[in-house]
Formats: sequence, C-alpha cells, structure tokens
Amino acid sequence: MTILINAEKCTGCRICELICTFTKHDEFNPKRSRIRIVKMERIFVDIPVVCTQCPDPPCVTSCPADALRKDADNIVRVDDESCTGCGSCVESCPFAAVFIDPLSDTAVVCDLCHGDPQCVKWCPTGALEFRASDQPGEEKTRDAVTITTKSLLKKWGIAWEEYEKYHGKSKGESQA
Amino acid sequence: MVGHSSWAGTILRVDLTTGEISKQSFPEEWKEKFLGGRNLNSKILFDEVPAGTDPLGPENKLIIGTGPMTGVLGPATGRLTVTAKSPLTGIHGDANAGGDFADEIKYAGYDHIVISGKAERPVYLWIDDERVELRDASHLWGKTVFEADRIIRMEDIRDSDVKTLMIGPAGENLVRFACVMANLYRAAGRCGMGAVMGSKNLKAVAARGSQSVKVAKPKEYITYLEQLFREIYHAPNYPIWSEYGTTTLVMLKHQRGEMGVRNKQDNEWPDDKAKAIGGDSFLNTLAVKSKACFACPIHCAHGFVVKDGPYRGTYGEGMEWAVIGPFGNELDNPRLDAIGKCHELISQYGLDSISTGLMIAFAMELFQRGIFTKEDTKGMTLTWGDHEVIVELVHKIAHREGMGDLLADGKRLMVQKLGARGNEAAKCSEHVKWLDEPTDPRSDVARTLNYAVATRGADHLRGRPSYATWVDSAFERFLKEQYPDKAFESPKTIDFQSYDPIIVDVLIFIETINSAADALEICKFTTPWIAQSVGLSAMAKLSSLATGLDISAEKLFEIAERGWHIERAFSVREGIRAKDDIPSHRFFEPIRSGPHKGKQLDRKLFEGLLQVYYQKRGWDTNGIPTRERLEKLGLKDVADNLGL
Repeated sequence: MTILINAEKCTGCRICELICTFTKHDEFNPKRSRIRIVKMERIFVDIPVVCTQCPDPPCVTSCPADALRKDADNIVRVDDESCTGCGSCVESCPFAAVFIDPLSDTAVVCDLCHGDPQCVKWCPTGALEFRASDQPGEEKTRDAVTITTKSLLKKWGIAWEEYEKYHGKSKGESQA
Repeated sequence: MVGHSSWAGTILRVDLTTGEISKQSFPEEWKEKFLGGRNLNSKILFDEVPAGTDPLGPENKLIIGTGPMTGVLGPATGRLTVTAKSPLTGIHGDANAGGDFADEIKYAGYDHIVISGKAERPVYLWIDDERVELRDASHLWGKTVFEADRIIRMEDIRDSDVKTLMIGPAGENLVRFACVMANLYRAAGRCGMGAVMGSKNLKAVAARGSQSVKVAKPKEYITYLEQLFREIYHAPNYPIWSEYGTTTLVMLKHQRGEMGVRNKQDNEWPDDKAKAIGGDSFLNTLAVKSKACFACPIHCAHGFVVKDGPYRGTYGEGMEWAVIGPFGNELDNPRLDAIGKCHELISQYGLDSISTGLMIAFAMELFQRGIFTKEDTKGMTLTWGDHEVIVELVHKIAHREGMGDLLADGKRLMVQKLGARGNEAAKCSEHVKWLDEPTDPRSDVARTLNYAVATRGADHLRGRPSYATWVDSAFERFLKEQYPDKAFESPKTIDFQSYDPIIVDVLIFIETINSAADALEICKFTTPWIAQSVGLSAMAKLSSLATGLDISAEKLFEIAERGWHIERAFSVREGIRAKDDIPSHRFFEPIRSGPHKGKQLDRKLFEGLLQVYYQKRGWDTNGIPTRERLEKLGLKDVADNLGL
C-alpha cells in the first residue's frame, strides 16, 4: 500500500493537510498534518510530502525510545506513550515525511487511514493516488525519489534517459 | 459560547505610533451582527476613522480581516479583506486577496488585525502564535515583494513556511493604487491599500500559527461539505473554470463587445489580436501548471513562464482577465509575453493590475488627443501597443520616476493637478467615484448599475448580476412573489439591457451573495455569482455548522445588508450623494464599434433606475440611508453618527 505523488498536478491548495488533521483530530491544523505541501511560492512548485512506506524505515531504526514500529501491514506507527518528541525520526527520514505535532509533542507519520487515505479521496486534481497493493515488478516511482535521483544523476553526468531505460517512466517528470 | 466555534476569538490591535500591541476579545454581539471579514472591517472603519481623515495620515486605520470560515476546510477559505479609507478614491476602501496568509493568521489565533498610527521608521509585524512584535524593517525598505519575502522567511526568521503579507516599492512610494500582496502573487488589489500601509511605514506582516481551528458540529459539517464539494465539481462551468480560470473571459468579452480597446474608445478588436491574448493562447504558450489558493477545489490560477522572445525568463503566478484586459486590449497590445512581464512587475512592485493598466491607457489616450504633451510625458512618446513603453511605465509608476510620478497619484488627483485641462481629461476615463474597471459595461445596463452603486466605486466584485445564476431557493421564492407574472427558470429570462426594475432586485441579491461571501471570507468563485453552487442558503448552513450560531439565509441577508449600509454610510459621511453615483462621461457616450455599435446609455432612464435602487435599499432620493432603515438593521448608532 502506498500513496503515489504527481507533484506537477499539485496546485498547493492544502486540502490534504486539512482533511488529514480533521480525520485524526476533528480539527483543522496543518501543523498537525501527516502530509505536507512544501510550497516554493516564487517558482510555484508544490510538492506533497508523505510517508513512502520504506521497506527498512530509518525513522524506526533511529528511534532511541523504540516508539516507532513497522507493523505487519507495512505501516509505520508511533506509540504516543513512549515517544519523547526528540525528533530523531524527523531527521532520519530521507523524504522529510515524519513530523512533530506541536500540540502533542510526539511524532506523527501517515498511517494510510486504514487503507482509505482521506487526502487521496479529497485531492481535487489526482496529484495524490492510492495504490492498494504492490504488484511485483512494478516500479514504485514517486516524485520525491525522482527529484532526488534527478539531481544526483545531473551531478554525476548520467543522462535522464538512463533512469527511464532501467526504471520506467515517471509520471510526474514525464516532460523533464 | 458553548462548544467549539470556528472563530479564533481575538482581535489584534497594533498602534504603530506608540508601539503598543493589545488583544481584544471578539465581542459576541459583533459575531451575531457582522460575522467578520469585509463586513466587520467596514464597521470598525466607520466607527474609528472619522470624516475628513487624511487617507495617508496616521489617523487612517488599516484593518485586516479574516472570516469565521478562514482556516477551516471549506469552499476556498484562505481569503482576507484589507480595509481603510482609500487614498485613491477618498471614500470607503477595501481589497480582497486569496493565497494562504489569512489562514495562517487564524492558526496564530487572530480573526482581525487593526493597525493604527505611523511607525517612526520602517517596521514589520511578526506574529508567532501568541508572541507578537514589531521588528525593524530598514533592511527591507526598497526591496521588491519577492526579495523582502525571502529575507523575512529565510534570513530573519529562518522558517520557509512563514507566510507574508506585504507591500512593494509602490506602497512605500505612496502610489495611490499600490496593493498589498499575500504570498507574493495574491493581491488585495484595489483602492490603494498598499499606499496606506506604506504611509504607516509598515512593510509587512509575517505570520506563523500552530493553533487548531474547530467547528461546532464536525460530523455534520464534513458530511455537508462533501456534498457541497461534489456540487462544485459537477457545476457546468467547473471544467472550464478550473482549466482556464478567468483567462476564459478574454474571448467571451471580445465576442460580447465588452472588451474595451484603447482605453474603451472602441469595443472592437481584430480576432487575431484577441486570440493572441486569449485563454487558449495563454494555456498553450505560457501556463505550466494549475495553482490554487488555500483550500480551493477550483484552482483558477496558473504558474506561467515566458519561454522565448525579449521577455524570456519572466515567470510568475497568474494570469487573470484583470491583468490581461488592462495590459492587453485596453492598450491595443496583443503581446501576451509583454503582459506576462507586466504581471511579474506589478507583483514584485505591489501595484494593482487594473488601476495600473488603465492608468497607462488613460495617459495614452490623453497623449493621442494632445491633452498630454511631451512636457507631461517627460519626453516619452506614448503609442498604442508599444509594449516597451508599457513595461517602462510600470517601472516608472512604481518608483514615481519621470511621468510615473504624475500617474502614481491616480486619476482623481491627476485630473485635479491638470488644472484647466482637467475637464477634458476627465471625459476620457470610465470610472465611478474614481475607481475604474476592466470590463466595459455599456452594453449591459445591469452591470452599469452595479458599478454605479458599488460601495467602493465601480466594481464587478460587488455585484455584476448578468453572468450570475440564482440557484438559491430563498431568492427564487422572493422573486416569484414580487413578480408573479414572470418566469424565472433561468437568468436568461431577464433582459439585462433593459431598464426593467427587476434587475435592481437581481443586483441586490448578487450584491448580498458577494457581501456574505466576504463576511465569511470564502471565494466568490464558489458562489452563484460565477454560476457556482455555494449560494446564500448553503453559506448559511455551512457557517451555522462551523460557528455554532443559528444563521438562516434570511439572517445572512440581513448581516450582509448591515455591512453594505455601513460602507455606504462611510462614504455619505465623506460627502457622497446621488450625483456621485452617476457614472463618468464615457459611460454615456455611444458605443463606437463592435457588436453593440451605436448603443448608448439613456441617462434619464438610468437615473430612474438608480431611484428604484435607493428605494429598494431603503435610502432617500439623494442616496442616503434613512434612519428608519438603519434602525431596522440595528444600526441606530450609524444613523446618530450621520446626524439623520
């Protein structure tokens, strides 16, 4: 299970942040959201940032209080009781997709709303897409990954076509 | 109040002269009577800024208002209104902006911010939840909106998520149509609110909020909202509006003969020129993605990039009819890339697109007619369609350089300064109470009436009934009772080119829809004003579920009417009377070209229609609200203040 992101379609409306906090807390507060839109206003770039369900999540391994665990359904969950809000998980996440809730002072991370992610349901443009099962052989390409890879390849002088040749076309970057 | 409510509950007051910052509890009575947003801003302005106040003096106040829906997931709930006495028009002034600054204020814990006085040197207001302080802004003064925003976020506060509301050099230089920019590109554009901010030495308001906004009845609220969003997505105009935004209006106005050409001297423009600046051209050549304001399902805006030609490297968020019209057809300029450049410039300088483009159009016509000489233009030759001159004039106006200094004063003061030539010059401007508009309304009596009576001067955002629909059952019932012999299946059954009194009722209804949207601070693009589904009944239900108050459509009508009367009363107190509602000279000239060639507004019939409007609003024949009407609305204090 995972949320796929197509940043090119994201308008920056932040409806996902609102419905996320409403679903979890019955209130609206983007600072408590488990999905965040990183907005770069001048260049109108909007990138949704949300947990990508890493196979071996650094947020879990880096937690000094053992407050984060990956459950059998592959979803990372936080035990609020043991979480000290130290922020190790936030720092360790390569996609900056773990956050500290300023009201509870504990870590929050996307739990895919029991398989029915509300952010995906409410997204006006399809920038967020939910894939319920991981099919074998299918590349889990996401913009966060693509963007990072792209900058590395550019630095190393490897043509973008090489990525596409071996890893498939990425929706969000198809025009790149 | 019992239970949760979507208000933050606090009004922040900042006195820039003394540096004093205080927090006022939001009076319950104000919630019931005014809700918030533009509506409450107008009341505060009326109460606290007396007649004769210098708009650019420390006694004027700058009021920033969010609404009870701000910060809540709802129909585009990131809007705010900035209100002050206008330095452009000299009467009630306000401007509305989107983006996502308003919600940040709400999350920080404030509904309204009332700014008074004048700081000794440039400052900015930093709101970090309950911590509020004035900070030195001398390093920001003179900087563009883009630069100052970056310095505040990345160097001063070091948090890229901080949101800013600010002025550019135009506001600092007291350009009387300078605007206030939210999130770089979202303009509280009209009436010169940026100049008021500049006169106070206030460069910016920066905010960061982490508090939650709660609604009174969460389950019912979200269920109802789901239904409303479904209706928004299924409205017939959703596909076009979400793809094109207001750029779709360019060709429509061209076809309808509402496109003013060369400062509205003509209403006919070659098809190829219109197409060059039309919606399809914009989407195919410049737009790269859709953009939305906070919590907006419609996303009418775009990111755009000029990819080649002399303006290569220009980029920004936009564009709208309100930029394309004033910098395109009005200047006989079919260059979309140059319009893009103007868009980028007005954003970074903080200039109102409508007033800036139309001011340049005005100057070009004066030059064409020989009313302006090279002495006035400081040697410049103003030729229609000369995009290089247009771009140069935007720079000059923002910095008050060369002839820009004269133009920066706005039409009202400029005409006064021209002395004997002023009368001839004034004939070349289409305005009401010195506010001008991008759409030429002469073929549309209803729109002309809307411009005439709008409370901040000519203004489609206060009414404009002819594109609207009324899906509102309360209003349908009312119309059927008033006009039993007419069928109201669709707005098309009404002839908006006639002087039929029914257009007054429709206008008042649409004015009310828009006032209600502004009181709640939701976007008008979700309302019947632009054929969308969030009507008065829907707004009433939504705000009841959010605030916990019992707000019916009738109550909401009354709340909106209160604000409308207070805005009118403010301007009446400044001397506005029925004669000032008569549109300027050009409105009465026959249309020279285009599909409505030869048509002319009938002054006598139009004045008759104005009297019908006054009567239905409960005003006297001179356009002054009566004591009886004001008292019925619970505004005895306003009647007393006016000395009625």
